[in-house]
Order: sequence, then C-alpha cells, then structure tokens
Amino acid sequence: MNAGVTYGSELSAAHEALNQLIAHGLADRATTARHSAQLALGQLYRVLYRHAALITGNGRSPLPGALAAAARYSADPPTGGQMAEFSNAPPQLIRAFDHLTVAADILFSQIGPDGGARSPAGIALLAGVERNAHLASLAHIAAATATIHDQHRVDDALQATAAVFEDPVRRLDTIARTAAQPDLNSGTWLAAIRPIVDVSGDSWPAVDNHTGFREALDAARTWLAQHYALDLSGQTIRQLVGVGLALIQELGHIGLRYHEGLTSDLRARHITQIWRSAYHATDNIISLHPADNAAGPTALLNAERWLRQQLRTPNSWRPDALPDLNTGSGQQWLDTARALARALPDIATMLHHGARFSASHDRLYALDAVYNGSQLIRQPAWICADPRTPAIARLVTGLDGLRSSATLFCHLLDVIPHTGLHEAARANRQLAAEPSTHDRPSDTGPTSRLTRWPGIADISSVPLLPPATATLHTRVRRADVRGGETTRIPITLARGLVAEVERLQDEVYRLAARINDPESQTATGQRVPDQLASDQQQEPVVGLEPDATRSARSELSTDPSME
Amino acid sequence: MTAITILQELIDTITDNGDDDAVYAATVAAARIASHAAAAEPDDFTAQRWDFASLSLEHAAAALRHPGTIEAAVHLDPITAEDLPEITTLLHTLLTALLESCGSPAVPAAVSGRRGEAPNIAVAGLRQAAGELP
Repeated sequence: MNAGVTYGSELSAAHEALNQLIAHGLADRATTARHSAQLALGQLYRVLYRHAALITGNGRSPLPGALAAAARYSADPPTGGQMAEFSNAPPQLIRAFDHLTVAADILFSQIGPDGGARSPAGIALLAGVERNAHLASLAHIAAATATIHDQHRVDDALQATAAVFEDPVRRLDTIARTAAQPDLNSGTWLAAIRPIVDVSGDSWPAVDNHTGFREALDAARTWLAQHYALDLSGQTIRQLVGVGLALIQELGHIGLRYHEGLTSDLRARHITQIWRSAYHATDNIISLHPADNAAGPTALLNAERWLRQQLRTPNSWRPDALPDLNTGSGQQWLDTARALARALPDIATMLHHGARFSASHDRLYALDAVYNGSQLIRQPAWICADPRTPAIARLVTGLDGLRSSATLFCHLLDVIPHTGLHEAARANRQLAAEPSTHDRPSDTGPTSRLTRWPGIADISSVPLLPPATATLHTRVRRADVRGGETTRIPITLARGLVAEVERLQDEVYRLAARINDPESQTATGQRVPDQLASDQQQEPVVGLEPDATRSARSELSTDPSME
Repeated sequence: MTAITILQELIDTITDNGDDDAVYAATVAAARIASHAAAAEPDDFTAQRWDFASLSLEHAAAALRHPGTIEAAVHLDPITAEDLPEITTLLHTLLTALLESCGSPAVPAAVSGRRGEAPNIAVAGLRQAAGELP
C-alpha cells in the first residue's frame, strides 16, 4: 500500500492535469486527435459520475444528473478496438482519468459491493460527512472537464453537435460556479482518506515501526467496522478493551512527555480508571463462537506490543525512549500518539455498538450469579444474556464511558478524532458539541464538528453489512479434546433458530444440573427460600462452572439428537 | 472468597496436579486477580504494571484455550491495598508453578502444541506477566 496516496491527492492531481490542458489548449487539432479526446472526456464524465453518485447517496444534488447527461452526450466508452485510439488522447486527459480512477477506487474500497460500509471511512461516507464540500470539489473538476470539452467543440467543424453538448456542459459550469471554492489541501477528512487496509487475513504482521503502528491501528478500526454489527464475541470485546487500556496508559505517558495539555496526569489517570472499569465489566462475559486470531484484534495487539517494547522495560518506563520534541524522532512519537488518540474514539464507539448488538442478538453469555456484597446468593451459571442482564448492562455502561474518555484524550492532545462511526453516531455528536477548554489547531477546522458537518445524516440511515447466517459450534466433550481430536460440529442455522436452540439448550442444562445436584432438590423437586442460605454456605466458584453442570453440558452438547 | 485464598488454592492445585485444564483456569484467575489488584493499587505506575501483567496473562490464557469450551470464571471479594503485598508474593509463586507446569508432560498441549505456536505464546505471556508484576 502506498501510504502517500490519498483521495485528496488524487483529485488534486487530476484537477491540475486538466488545468494544464486548459492553459495550453489541444495541441493536435487533427480529427483523429479530437476523436481520441472525445473518448477521454466521455470517460472522465463517467468516472466523475461514479464519485458524485457515491458521495451524494440519498441526498439531493444536481451534479450526478448533470454528469450523467454529459456522459450520455459524449462518446461511448471505448471498446477493445478503440483502446489504442483512447491512448492517443492528450496525455493530460489520460493522466487526469488515471488519477480520478485511483480516487474512485479509494472511495469504493470503503464501500462494499453490497453498498455496506467496509471501513469507518465508509460509514462516514454513507452518513454524508463532508458531502457538500466534496461535491463542490467534484463540481470544479467537472467544470474543468467541461471547459476542455467546450474548447474542443469550438474547434470542431461539426458545429451541429454544439447544441447537443451545450446543455449538460453549461449546466456543469453553472453548478461549479454556485459551489463553494474547494480546497483539496485543506486537510478535510474525505481528502485524507487512504486506500483501505487489507484485513482479510487471519493475522497481522508484527509491527516494528511507527508506520506499521498506524497501519495496524487502521486495520483494527477497519476490522471493527466490518465486524462490530456481526460477530463481535465476548472474548474479542475483552481483548480489545484490555489492549485499549494498555494503549491509553502508553498514550498518557507520551502525552505527559510532549504535550502541555497533559501537564497534570490527573486527567490521564481518570481516563485510565474508566478503561479499567470497562475491562472489569468484561470479566464474566463470553461467547460460544470466539474468533481466534481475528485480524483486527491481532493487529491492535501487535501494535500495543511494539509500543510497550519501545516505551517500557518490565519494571519501568524507558527513560531514553522519548527524545526531545525538537528532534525528528520526538516529533514522530508525538505524531504516533496523536494517531492513536484519533483512532481510539472510533474503536470505543464500535466496541460499544458491537456489545449492544451482540447482546441483543443472543451472542453473549454472562455468568448469572447473584451477590450481596461478597456473599453468594445464587449459584452462578452461564446464561444467554440479553441487554437487561445485569452483567451486560454493566458492560454496555462501561463501554459507553470509553467513548467519552477517548474523546477527552483527543481534547487533551488537541486532535480531532478520525471520522467514522464515532462521528456519525448522534450521541457522540452531542458529546463533540460540548465546549472544549482547549483551542483547536487552526488547520483542522473549527471546534465543533456539528459546524464542520451540518448536513450529516443520522447513523440509523446508514446501511450496514447484510445479516449473515450464524454458525453455532456445539460445545465439545472434554475427553475428545484430550484425545487430540477436537470435535467441532458446525450447524448453520438462521439467526433466530440459533437463539432458540441455545435457549432450549440452556434450559436443559439447568434442569440437568439440578437433577445432578441432590442438595438443590426438595421432596417436591422445587427450590425453597431456605436454600438461599445453604447456597451461601456453598463453596464459591473458582475456575470452571460446577462439575455437574459442565458434565451435563458436555454430554448433552455432543448428543446428536440436539442437532 | 478472597484473592489470597484463591491464589493459595490455585498454587496447591497446580503444584499437585497441573494438568492443562488447571493451568488454563489458574491463568485466567491470575489475570482477573491482577486486574482487580490494579484497581486497588494506590500508586498509578504500579497500577499500570498490574494492568500490563493482567493483559499478558489474558494473552497466555487465550493461547491455552480449548476452542469451543466454556471459559473459567472467578469471583473475588474486593481487594484492598493491604492485601497487595501478599497477593504479589502469591502471584509470583503461582506464575513460577505455572511456568513449570507448562514444561511438564502433565500439560500435553504445552508440549506438543494444541494450536501450533500457542504454547510458546502462553509461556511468553506468563514470563512477561512475571516480569511486570510489582
């Protein structure tokens, strides 16, 4: 991946190439050259239409219609036999087309073929972040294309075609004149997005430098964007929150060294406490389908591991790890800290949304134990949790706190978070609108993101990835695992059916546990209030669930009749 | 049950019969205890070390985990700052026992490799945690 290629740089390069051609005019006025130019102009309109249609989404803008009309009245796409002719077009047009194609590829890598977001940037695109500013950018490039088209037509002996071309081309010019003057180098978010980081692999290479660290952060965010509404397991949530806690501490260390916003470490400590509480809230949350070695968590884990090695010995922070800020290396560390701070709000938001989604779709199991202080009131058992389960409520509340704490870190380091779900979620926009005590750097726009993106759509309108069929892995008999053969029987079922099967399984497990536990039965087979007291006398659970329950589960789970 | 009691029982279990189930359960328990100790630790830097130790133990436990099995769960009484020195000592002892168990034939997964490099990751995680403990 070329880290230097961004959407904005490609659009700027295309615009520059077109302006060069406008300044110099068409050098070769032969008929064949004009036809080649017409082919290239038609292609430019088409690729611009692809951009505009994507950015416009469900919103209203005259630009896609005007571009479609201009493309319709231009030459048809070159066929195989015409490619040689197409390549004879003015090199500036070819170059502009190439740059626009790369820019389109960058945009379309964020949106999957199903129209769903494939990355945080894709979520923001579909939500309409910075829509107006970038439609204006496209309008100006389209107007430059139309100007060349106009010059070409004036030279054309076939004036009869002028009337046909005039409407769509003039329309583009009018749209561009009414649009605000864009500045593609202003550091706006959409201009800065890069090609999506490939997270299709099962793992992520070890991180060994600052660039790798930032790419791993991008990969983790992208992986989360692809999975948070599908299959975020309890184990993954715990792993990500744990790594996030470590990253927050390392970020705080770098911030304390370099940034006056963190001269007092009290606020950094407060933020750490919030992440630690969320980490504790994941103590007794699991899923039955843990994603082993998933790319996103692995990438974040590797990034944290590298950062820890750079900053710490086992017993202390490395005193020489962070050089003076005036050195290039010091600035690099500050940039890395800022990159981390910018990524964390989005990661926290997706974790929060993902936990809520998983809980409401019966993907999380919680240990259903009731305590009064440290006194065990009810024997714990794993239950399929829903959002009302106390453990899940604690988890969601804890993860909710991460969003605000990560945003606070951004305020402390004077950076604006990456755009993604974080920016598109309504609650976060309200959070972002709260006045900050810190001035924002002038090159990153005004303080309030509500001001930056007034036209942003609510996240509920964003089409997410399509629902997938769930896979239920039956629990395995321990003896099978000991023998070296892991019996893992996948049963692909519709999502609702999975939930129903798991609910029934749990019901059976509870009954089996009671049958196997004579103390829990009375003459009538019912529990009586007095037993609560006897529960308190029982050995509190350390390690695995009660043997009887586990045994019953193992046997039942491998019973073919359960499938 | 207090963290100290849990740790003493885990040390006895691992020393007597450190099979792979016991090693996994003890690693998870140690991770949870380290995490809760961080919350009780008044010194910020030491709390961070507890956090890092907990994280390393979680990674070690993840490497030891059977696919598809229910995870371990630990219920702890709140840890107080006064308990921390004893907990630290007991955790050091437990990690030493765990590292010895991971190299013993009683833990076949740690020798033969249940998931490729998983035992190495587990051992590395345990060692790193031992280094991070206050």
